[in-house]
Amino acid sequence: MSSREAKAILLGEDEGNVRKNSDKSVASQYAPLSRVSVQEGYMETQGKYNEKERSELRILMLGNAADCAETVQHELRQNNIAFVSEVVDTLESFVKALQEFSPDVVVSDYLLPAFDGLAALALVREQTSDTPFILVADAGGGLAVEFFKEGATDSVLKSRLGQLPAVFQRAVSDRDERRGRGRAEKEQKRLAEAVGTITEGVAIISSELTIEYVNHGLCRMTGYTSEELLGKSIGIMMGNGRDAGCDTVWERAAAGNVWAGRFSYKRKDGIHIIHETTVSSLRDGSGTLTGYVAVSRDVSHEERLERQLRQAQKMEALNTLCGGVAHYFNNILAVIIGFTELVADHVEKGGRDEGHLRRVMEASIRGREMVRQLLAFSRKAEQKKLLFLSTMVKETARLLRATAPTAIRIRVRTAGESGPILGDPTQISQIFMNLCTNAVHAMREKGGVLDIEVSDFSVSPSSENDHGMEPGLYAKLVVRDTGIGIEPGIIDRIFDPFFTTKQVGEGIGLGLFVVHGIVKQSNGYITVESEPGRGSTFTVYLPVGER
Amino acid sequence: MKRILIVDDEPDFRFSAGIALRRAGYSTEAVADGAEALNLIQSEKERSLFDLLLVDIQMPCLSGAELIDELRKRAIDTPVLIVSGFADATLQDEFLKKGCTAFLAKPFEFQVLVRRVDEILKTRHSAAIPD
Repeated sequence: MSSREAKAILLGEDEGNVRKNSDKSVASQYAPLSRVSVQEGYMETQGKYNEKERSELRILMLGNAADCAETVQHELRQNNIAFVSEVVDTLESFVKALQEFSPDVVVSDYLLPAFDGLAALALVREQTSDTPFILVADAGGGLAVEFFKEGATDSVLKSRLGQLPAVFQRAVSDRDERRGRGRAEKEQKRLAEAVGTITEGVAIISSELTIEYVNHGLCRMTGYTSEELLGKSIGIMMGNGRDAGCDTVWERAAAGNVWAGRFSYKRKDGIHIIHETTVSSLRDGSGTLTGYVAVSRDVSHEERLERQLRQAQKMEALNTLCGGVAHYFNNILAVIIGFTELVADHVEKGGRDEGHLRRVMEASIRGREMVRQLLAFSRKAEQKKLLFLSTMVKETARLLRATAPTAIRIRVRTAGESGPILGDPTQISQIFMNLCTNAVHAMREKGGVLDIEVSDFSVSPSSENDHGMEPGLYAKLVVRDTGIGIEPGIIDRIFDPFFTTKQVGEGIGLGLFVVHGIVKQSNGYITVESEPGRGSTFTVYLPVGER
Repeated sequence: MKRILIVDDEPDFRFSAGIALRRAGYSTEAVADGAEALNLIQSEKERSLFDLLLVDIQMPCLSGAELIDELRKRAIDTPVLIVSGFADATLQDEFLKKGCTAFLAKPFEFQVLVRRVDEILKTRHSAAIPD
């Protein structure tokens, strides 16, 4: 590089005369020092800028301090300190050098020809807050106080420049230490911010199982504030050890294993959630247990989906079985019914044999009814469509009115429906038919009123309900009769397969079982209330437009 | 005498339905699957067509649905009455869309079957008069 280029940035004390000093014996890779090499040297280390990796001390001297340069260099050499130095004396070149030369230490006089030392100090503090600034002071100079007030790092008497190497080193190592501390603090802050921000709940638990730290995620998950959780037993999170095997969590974690499991948990606001938690032990340097760290994730949604999947798979298997059995059974019944008819053509009318054959026929018809109910199960999901209960209910009522005894009044009320449900038309009408058939049956002797109602029903996430219903919109179907009612002793069994109070030939005990199965398949709910002698009310909730 | 072809893999059904239909005054023949039915119908084509096909859905060789497709391809429009153990409204719609005349879910009483067959053949007969 030419000296003209160097002049552009490094104005020496004498106008146009660039002085650039380097200890060639120690920092030989920078010799001869040039602007380019300084810059490249800086550029090279810019990415991994680290004081410890920079072997040379980079000294920027200002104005009159430059007079001491020879002495300083001599002293540094004596102390075997590798260095690179630059001398500037105008404001412009100083600013430039601060940025481009990136000094480890700035040495300045009180007064400079072009601007004063205090201004230089202010610039240093403004641009690099922690670069050591060393004042070269005349003996007894009271101005030094002012420099220290403005953030000068140290001062050395002009008469004792021999102290400079030691002062430099101390200043730089102080700076490095401060930087290291700052970095560690920054890292810790970042880490704390990260833990604070994540959606997973994090808790630090003492070895006595009290909560020492909770992050925001955990508060959000549990509905408690951190004040409410801190100092409390971890039981607040893990159900007070009620969950099976809870004690082993801590035992296992204390033994050095990571424990992972799921807990069912009631939030402060009463919402039930399932959280998946891993617990690991925390130890001090000597390996002594100091506590635990628990990381929790709300898996209620996954749990719900898994449960639905399991349920769907179970139903799928049942469907296949029912479908297959039903088909074969229908063919067998067809043969029985067919041949019975053929024989009946030839037996004596009104005779004993005809009566016997009629029994065979009736039994076969019962078998056919049973298969018809079973087939309601063996429906494929593809057959589902969006259905409005109110429309279907009216159709069912029309059929019922045609067949039910006249002493039974049928009333239909459809009061608003949030939306269509996704269901299989055959299955859904099976629900109506089975419930209504039972209702009519319960009133067949004394007559009464059959009320069929369709309305909408909403379950909010925070609402408590006895059936553990998932939040969402439902279409609600109520079938109410004023019939004989259900005895309390058997009400728990009415949805069981083959349970019936009807006479042989009147029912086979599959009606409510099938209703229950279809409702469950549709992710719905069914409830029953009944009073013997007064009547029964069945309520079905089917999710609106689900899946 | 109207001729009915029974296509069903269940021998007892073929046998009993045949008796019931013959007692009702029809002439019947029976085969065990769609492939046999197709062969018979094609070989018969020159002589006289069947008046009605009584077809099961699930059969080992050429199912009910496949048989109907084959017949339509050959422009044979003999009326088809589906008799199946799969009592399913969706399936019923599917077959009626394919051009089947009627769908009867097994098991049924033969008097119901005969009534249905009478209806179909009468309908067809009266509909054929203007031609």
